[in-house]
Amino acid sequence: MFVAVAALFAGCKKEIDFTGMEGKQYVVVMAQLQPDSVAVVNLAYSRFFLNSDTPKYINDASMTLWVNGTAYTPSSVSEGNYQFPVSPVGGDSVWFEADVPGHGTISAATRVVSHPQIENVFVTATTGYEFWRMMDLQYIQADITDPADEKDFYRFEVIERDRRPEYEEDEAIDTIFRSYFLYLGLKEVGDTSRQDIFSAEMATALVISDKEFSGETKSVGFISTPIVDTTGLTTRDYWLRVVVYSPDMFEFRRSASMASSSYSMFAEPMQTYSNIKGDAIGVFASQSSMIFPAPRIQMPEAKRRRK
Amino acid sequence: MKRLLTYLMLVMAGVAAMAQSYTINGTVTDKKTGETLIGATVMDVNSGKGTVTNAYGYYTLTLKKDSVNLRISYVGYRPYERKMMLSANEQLSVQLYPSQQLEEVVITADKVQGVKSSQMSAIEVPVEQLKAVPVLFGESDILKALQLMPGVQSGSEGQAGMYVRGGGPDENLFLLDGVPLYNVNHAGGFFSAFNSDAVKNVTLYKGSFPAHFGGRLSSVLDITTNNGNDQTYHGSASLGLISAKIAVEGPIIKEKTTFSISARRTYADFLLQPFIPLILDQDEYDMSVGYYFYDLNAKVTHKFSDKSRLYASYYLGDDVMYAKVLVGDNPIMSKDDYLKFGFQWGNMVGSLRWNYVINPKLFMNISGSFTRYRNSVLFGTEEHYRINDTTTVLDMQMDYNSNIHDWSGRIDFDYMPNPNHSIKYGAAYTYHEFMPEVLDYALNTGDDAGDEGVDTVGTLRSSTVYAHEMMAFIEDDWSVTESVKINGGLNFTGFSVRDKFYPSVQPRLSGRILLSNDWSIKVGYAYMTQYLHLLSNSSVSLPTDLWVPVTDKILPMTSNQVAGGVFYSWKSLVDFSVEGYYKRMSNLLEYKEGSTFMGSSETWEQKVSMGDGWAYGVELLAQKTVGQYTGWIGYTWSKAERLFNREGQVLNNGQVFPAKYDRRHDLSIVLTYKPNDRFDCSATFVYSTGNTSTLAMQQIVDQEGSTSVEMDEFGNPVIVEEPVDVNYMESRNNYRLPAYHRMDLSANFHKKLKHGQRTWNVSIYNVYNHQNPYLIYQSYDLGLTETKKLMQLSIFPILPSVSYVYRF
Repeated sequence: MFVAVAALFAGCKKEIDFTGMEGKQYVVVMAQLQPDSVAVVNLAYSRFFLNSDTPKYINDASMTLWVNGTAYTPSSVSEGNYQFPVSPVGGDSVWFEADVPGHGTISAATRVVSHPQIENVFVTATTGYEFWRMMDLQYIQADITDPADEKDFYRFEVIERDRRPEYEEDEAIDTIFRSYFLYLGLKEVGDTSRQDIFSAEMATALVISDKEFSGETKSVGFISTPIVDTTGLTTRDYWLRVVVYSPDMFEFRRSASMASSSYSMFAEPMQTYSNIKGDAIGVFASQSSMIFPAPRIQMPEAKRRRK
Repeated sequence: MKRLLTYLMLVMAGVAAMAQSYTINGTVTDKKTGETLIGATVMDVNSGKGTVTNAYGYYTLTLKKDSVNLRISYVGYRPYERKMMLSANEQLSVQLYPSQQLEEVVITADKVQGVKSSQMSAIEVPVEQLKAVPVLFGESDILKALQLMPGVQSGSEGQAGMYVRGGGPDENLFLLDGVPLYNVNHAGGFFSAFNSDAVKNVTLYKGSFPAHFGGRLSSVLDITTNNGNDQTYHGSASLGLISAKIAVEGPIIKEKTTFSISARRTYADFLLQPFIPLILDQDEYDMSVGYYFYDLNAKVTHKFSDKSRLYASYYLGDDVMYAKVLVGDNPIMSKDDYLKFGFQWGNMVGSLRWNYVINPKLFMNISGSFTRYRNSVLFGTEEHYRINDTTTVLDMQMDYNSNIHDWSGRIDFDYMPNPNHSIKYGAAYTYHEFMPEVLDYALNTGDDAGDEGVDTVGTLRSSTVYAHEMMAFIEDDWSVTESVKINGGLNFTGFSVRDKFYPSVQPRLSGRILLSNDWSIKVGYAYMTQYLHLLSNSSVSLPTDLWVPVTDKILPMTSNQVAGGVFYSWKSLVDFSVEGYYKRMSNLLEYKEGSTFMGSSETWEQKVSMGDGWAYGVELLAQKTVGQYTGWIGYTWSKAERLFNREGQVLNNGQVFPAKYDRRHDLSIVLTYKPNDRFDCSATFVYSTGNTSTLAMQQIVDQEGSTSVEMDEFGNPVIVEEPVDVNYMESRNNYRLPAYHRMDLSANFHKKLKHGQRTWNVSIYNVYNHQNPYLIYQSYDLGLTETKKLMQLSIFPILPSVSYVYRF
């Protein structure tokens, strides 16, 4: 009887008919301005969520971009990308305005972020308790300076490449922001004390705002559990990737990440952030990303293991 | 002069004689079982004055010195009548004989309930009628039957959670013998915590709350359990599709001390285990999984005298869900990895109550109680290492749990100075202990040789919150004139937590104007304050929902509700009512966008937003409770909305959105037919507008939403960014699921045996197999082109069931 009941329970699925219920299509603005890069603004329409087609781009809008008060018109338009003959730098004020047929005037403004200023990246070997066990550890730390006149958000990622011969090149590299890298938090330069921070947000984006160190230099660090070869050299290369977001870009990235169905089945619904004025949604903001190498180190004699 | 004085003295004596009044008081009980009868009508037919028995079956009626035609009646019982000359206070305890069937007895002017009562927005359905309503798997469930009443909605398919007049599931006060229960759901809400075998009386208030109730915004469900038969031993045992029940009651000392015990447990976990290997490939899956719930009700009643009784009650209920799955089998390394998880939640309640009749007009009840509620979610891993002939086990476990402990004391008085006033007053105090977020972790090692390794244990917790809650109340049920009756009162509460004190004065008022013997108009107003919140995920209610108190940052919820209606009784057989209401609520809590209840660096206070809500609607009810055919038809039109636009606590961009269980239409039809003692049957039909759900109906392209890393020719990493679709949610609760409807049938076949009676119950849930949506999800067909679909999952198709009950 229970097998029959279980079979009955498992089979009650039905497709929901959405014919005629596609709802409103939105004009979507995507502009992720990077310092020293050509300014590009993308316009497209949103799609019904069950629609797997490519987006419908808008190529017939009339758009103007201002950088510090100087106006520019697009040098080319293709697949919704409006490319402008200007490369704003960190600190520039940029805004745009566009007339989209059928949707009126839309606009937004932002400030271009500066490239992340990393003064120093260093790696040290140590031991400590991880997951209730004493283990070899290495600290990866970087000194970062924040411009005082900008409000920024920082995201840190650690990229590793395993040099062991059994790893194929395309398998060896990975971007790590998962649990076995522990974020040490922002500390004073030279402070190597440990302050573990567990955060549910780590799995998706390790982002901090600059309110703790606006205009100052601080040290940000990570812990990893190294694997060493018979000579005591760690087997992985590391790079520290730092991404700087303007506030609007941070809000958009955060909301888009949480709106993703993979975020958490128990998470509350999240509305995707938009800073576009007028009959449109999307984001007109700035980000910059740089990668800094962290050297491989020789682990102390007593800590060598054969792997 | 002498004649004048004599005349005056005679007149004064006559006046004094006429003004003299005397009190009749006593208890009304069932002749066969000795159970007190709650809400029995006690009326003097001559004068038309009357009252009803209180929660302990006690009544007091003060009448003028005169001839009295006393009539005591209760649905399902033969009325008691006695004519007497009232010339002194009289103590009269009455035993009523149960009627063989619910006869269509004409209850005339002595009907104090229904049309004539000053109480509106209250549902009183005989327990036997509620038990007769067919529900899931043939199990009777009081709460699920009440969800068929207008103004009362259930959650998703099968769930027992209650949503009353646009309020949330935490806004209902569930009282079991006067003690609040926090979570009344078994099996995630498919069954309630109330074993119908233990229940004697049920009253649900949806509005116009009397002043002696407080602490919740939307409803009060007052459940009284059986005291136990004071004459002989009785019991029942039943075996159903998923559970077994047993109930025993009887005298410890005849007509003095009684006991009543009922218990039930599901056994699907035992029965399902042998079938799991058949369903799953054992070479691929090694799994043990199970779920069960149980509850136990126990009560002892001792009658010291007609004036004094003592009640001791106990309730224990738990739900346990567990699973352990082999996720990794490494024969080379001789290691097996298991993943395990579990849920557990439950209540424990103990109470002691003492009634005492201080004098014929004054009844007192003193009670003390303890409540414990806890829920926990457990995750863990087990690693089994096989080295030589020994298996070492590394067991890591995290238990995320939440607890509440309440210690309460209360004193109530019922005072009836004359037939026109029935006054209640009293006070209560509760000491709360809240432990909303506790994370216990443990790492244990050991082997099958009995050696224990290093154990590591620890606890992370948000701080325990201690709170004091005080209440005092006074109310008067006042018969102003023959046709006008008012129930007015004040409820004073205070809640003290973390150096913060929240006082509240809550006026309550309801009134009835009797247009004729059969027609009345009623109006009511109630201001309510609630000091506890239930943090619930907006998409699904879970047993892990957290009960949290108000704090210095989180304010008490409040509501103002007005209601008005017209009531008509046709020949005292069928009651009709049309009632409208408007309710405004403040300081409601919702989780912030993107938040999750799972532990993080944030405390729960940082994860929530406060806002406002309102609800309004019209409820129609036609109800018949006597005769061979009984039942009701109920229809509700309603709307419930929310607005969260306070600074820093904005949801839905500060725009109004529908409440989680906003349903425009709700229709229920319940019919029972009982022609004789050997057979009865019932049918239920329900229809309701679909629940709301938040669905991202549009998607946008994030041009650089996905990053991956590649190596360039120099061996340095290069970030590759690719476009990715991002869901765009236009507004909260923007989508409405398809309408819900189903029909259930049930039949009981009774037969008297040499010792006792047996009953076979046959029932069919969802007779025409309508696929009602339980949840929706996206599905992908990966063919030549990827096709997306939105699917609905239904969980209860047509479900026949059979159960057997033996009563002795």
